[in-house]
Amino acid sequence: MNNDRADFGKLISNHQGRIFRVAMGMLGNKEEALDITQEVFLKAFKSYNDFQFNSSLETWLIRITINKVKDYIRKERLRRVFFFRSGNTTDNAISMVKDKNPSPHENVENEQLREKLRSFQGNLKGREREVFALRFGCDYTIKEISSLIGIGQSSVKTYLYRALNKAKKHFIYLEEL
Amino acid sequence: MRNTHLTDKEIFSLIINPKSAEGEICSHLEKCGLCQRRVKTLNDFTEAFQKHVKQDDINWELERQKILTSLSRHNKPSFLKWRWAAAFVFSILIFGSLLLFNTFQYKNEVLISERDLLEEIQIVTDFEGNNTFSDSILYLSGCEPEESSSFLNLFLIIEEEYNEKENFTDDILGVTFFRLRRHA
Repeated sequence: MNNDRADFGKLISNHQGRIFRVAMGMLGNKEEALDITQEVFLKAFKSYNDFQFNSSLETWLIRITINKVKDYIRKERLRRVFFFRSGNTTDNAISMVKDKNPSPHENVENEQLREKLRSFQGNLKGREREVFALRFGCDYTIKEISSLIGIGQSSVKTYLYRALNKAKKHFIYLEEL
Repeated sequence: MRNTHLTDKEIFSLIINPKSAEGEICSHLEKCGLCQRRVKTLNDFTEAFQKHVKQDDINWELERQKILTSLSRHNKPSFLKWRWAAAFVFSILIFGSLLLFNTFQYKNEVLISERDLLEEIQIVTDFEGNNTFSDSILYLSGCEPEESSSFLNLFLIIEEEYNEKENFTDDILGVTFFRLRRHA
């Protein structure tokens, strides 16, 4: 058991940053992304013995992360509907993340950037969000993304084009105003 | 030499995979300030996104310890996995027993006990020495006071029969029987 925990500790060290970046890229909130990272490793620990090694550990963990984030977003939407809550997650949560000691000028700039990222992420649909987070949050190639989420490379490109088109609309036109 | 600006698709391809740029696109991009600005804006955005996602201020060792701690906390005994089902069954038992308790209590309240009935059906003697019934029994039976003597005789027969039956415990049935005999 102690050996298992030690091995698992190494696994956490090797992959936690990447898993966090995927969750952060999809959710946009640091605290929630850290919670998801923790849940991913809990799930991985529970089903580690069932892992068949048909894919790499990293692929397996990233798939768990994507599913966890999807579940989380769905539950959060339901919570908002039933409890009339203005959610602090996914779409508009980036503003919750504050820098430690920013100057007033930096604070305003960061706030504006967060606002832009928030509106951009809010406009991304499920797959677009996943693909964009994997490509620009974790630097995966199109081929890797294709095998990670099980869709064709041309579909990955299409989702990325759509996401970048939305980014262009949000950023370029906002700057032109 | 290309004279038209880059299309959105070409710019997006450049952003997604910079190495994929063809020679014609590269040569246009070197000379066209507008296309350079468009590419730069999107590149700045993706860099800002990467920077935001990386969150360099996180203490990963601390996070690792937190995860390991939560692993040991979530390693619960197997019987705790059924805690929700057990709670459901327990609540059903409590609810059922409350329901049964209330039902029996109501039934006991409705039934007249034997002692109460005997207290109610008591024979009193009037001032002329005749046996008669209490007013409450007369009221219940619908008899006039002057008819009470004949009514009393009838009741005394029934009471004797009642006493002979040791197992006769249901008082309400007794009263019903009494009324039927009277009407007959």
